[in-house]
Amino acid sequence: MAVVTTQPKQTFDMLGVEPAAARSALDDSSYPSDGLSVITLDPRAALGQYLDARKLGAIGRRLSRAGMLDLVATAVPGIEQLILLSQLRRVEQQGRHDLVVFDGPPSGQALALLRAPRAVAELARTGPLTEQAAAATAMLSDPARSQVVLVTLPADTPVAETIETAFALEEDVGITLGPVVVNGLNPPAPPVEPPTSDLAPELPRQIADAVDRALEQDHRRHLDEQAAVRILEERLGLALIELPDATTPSGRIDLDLLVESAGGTR
Amino acid sequence: MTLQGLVDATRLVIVVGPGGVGKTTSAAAMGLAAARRGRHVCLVTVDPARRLADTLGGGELDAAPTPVTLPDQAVRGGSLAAMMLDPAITFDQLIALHAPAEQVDTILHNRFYRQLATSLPGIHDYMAIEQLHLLYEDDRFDLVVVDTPPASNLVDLVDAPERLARFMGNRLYRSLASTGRRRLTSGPSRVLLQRISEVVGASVLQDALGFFAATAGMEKGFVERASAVRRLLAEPHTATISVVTPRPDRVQSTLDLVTALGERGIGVRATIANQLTFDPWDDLVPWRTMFQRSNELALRRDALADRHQRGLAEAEILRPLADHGVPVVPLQRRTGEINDIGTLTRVGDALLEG
Repeated sequence: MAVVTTQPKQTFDMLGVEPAAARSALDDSSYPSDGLSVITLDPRAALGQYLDARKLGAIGRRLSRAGMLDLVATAVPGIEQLILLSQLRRVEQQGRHDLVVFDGPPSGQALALLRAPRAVAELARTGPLTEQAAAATAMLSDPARSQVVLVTLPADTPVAETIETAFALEEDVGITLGPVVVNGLNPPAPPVEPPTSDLAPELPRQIADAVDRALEQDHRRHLDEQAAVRILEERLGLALIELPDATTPSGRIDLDLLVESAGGTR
Repeated sequence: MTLQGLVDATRLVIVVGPGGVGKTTSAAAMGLAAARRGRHVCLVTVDPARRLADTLGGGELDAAPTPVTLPDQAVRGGSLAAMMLDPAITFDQLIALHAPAEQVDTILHNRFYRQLATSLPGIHDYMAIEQLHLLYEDDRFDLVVVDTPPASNLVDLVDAPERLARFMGNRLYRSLASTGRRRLTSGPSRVLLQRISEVVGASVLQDALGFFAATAGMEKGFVERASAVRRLLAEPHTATISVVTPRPDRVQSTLDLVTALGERGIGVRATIANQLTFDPWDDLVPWRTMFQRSNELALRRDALADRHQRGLAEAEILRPLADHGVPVVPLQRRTGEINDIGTLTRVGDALLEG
């Protein structure tokens, strides 16, 4: 499989991959594709390549390449996103990988990305961009070719945002939603009954209360998380993959724990 | 400087950070705390949770500042107004401000403009900052607290004013727009127009040229505005405060933000570390033998020991911020939503004490 990322640094850190082992999506040369490949994607560079191919890279002294990129990117809102999708489509159709996982942007930008084919098609109406847009739409609307996995945290704001994004994706993009990943769940914690001061009367009251307050927080947090998960289930009706908080004491993410919790092996 | 010092001495507070860290709540709590200390505050929020909106506005928040009723105690002549950011309306206001009166309608109805107003990269960030500038000049307020859009590319936020100015002032488009009105006779322009139109489609080009023709003469206003906004962001009366939770990815994006802002001459004055674990372990240590007395107490001790580990891990996760010279204001995790002004007041007090 291949992981495609626009934020290579984080991906390298997380997977423990050397940056030199990664390939650019713009690179057409062949390479061994067994196991896990990391493919980097730079939307600006992709747009640049697209324009170069149409002799629009730089036009004499009147307009620099950067100026042209700026101009086109703003003149056709969504073109950059559309080209990015086209690059993804290329990686998909090269057929080198059984599975291509794109590490997408946060929800607001993800919506802009996936809405781009339709937005550009409406704006451009004719020309090569509409063909690109149609090809991207075909990829996005075929569940055998592409699906979205939404990732969220078990708290009010992220869950509300995820639900909103899910509906917008189904309505505006027509892409199939896969299971939703709920990340960072904490273990169950029992209610604090009876109060610690009853169990240990000689403990100073202040300390006993602090103990109860701390443990009560764990309990309420667990309840809050369960409530958030229930809201997700009820509103979306999609399968959920629940993952534990995998932050290690040294502040890193324990990837093996996540893989194991998701039911896979590494 | 503490956050208390900051809300007393600044005229603008910009709250930034990755989505879902409690940015909106922190901004609202700081705004409320400042109002209770006698400031005349306008709070600009982006997308408040339903109950926070209820708490602030008793229902829908408007795109215009609406007064918030403050709790009776300890109001030293201060006031709080809250509003919701609507990027499209702000952009329309800007056009109305800068465009010649007879062109305003043409621009507002131009397809290209409508597209621009909703999907120009960074436009929401830009409008957050632009709104701040409009309010900064509003005599009713002496402190503006702005909550920035979630999930924004953080560098876009700062670069957006200049990007828009550069875009509006694009000489090529401008010259094409003015040729477009006459006849396209000159060779290079025509070739260029043809090529652009082959890529983007003729109708896009037409709309774009229409937009640039209608906004002729406005670019100077936009460029001036952009540099004014940039100056404002770097002023000593402006404080940028970031919000983070103790997760490695979020700390990393905060560090990236601090670096990117630093390169642009803007310092992050403090980082609010939200959702920290309350960890009473140290107070417990002298009493730990007592917790062996019963199974139930031993279970509680174990749970507290886990919490202590979590607390230590959080400190470790946040350490790079302090190492980077960013003062960290701790804020403990709360359970439940904020649904009344009293709770928001307590959060504000906790922030200002931190």
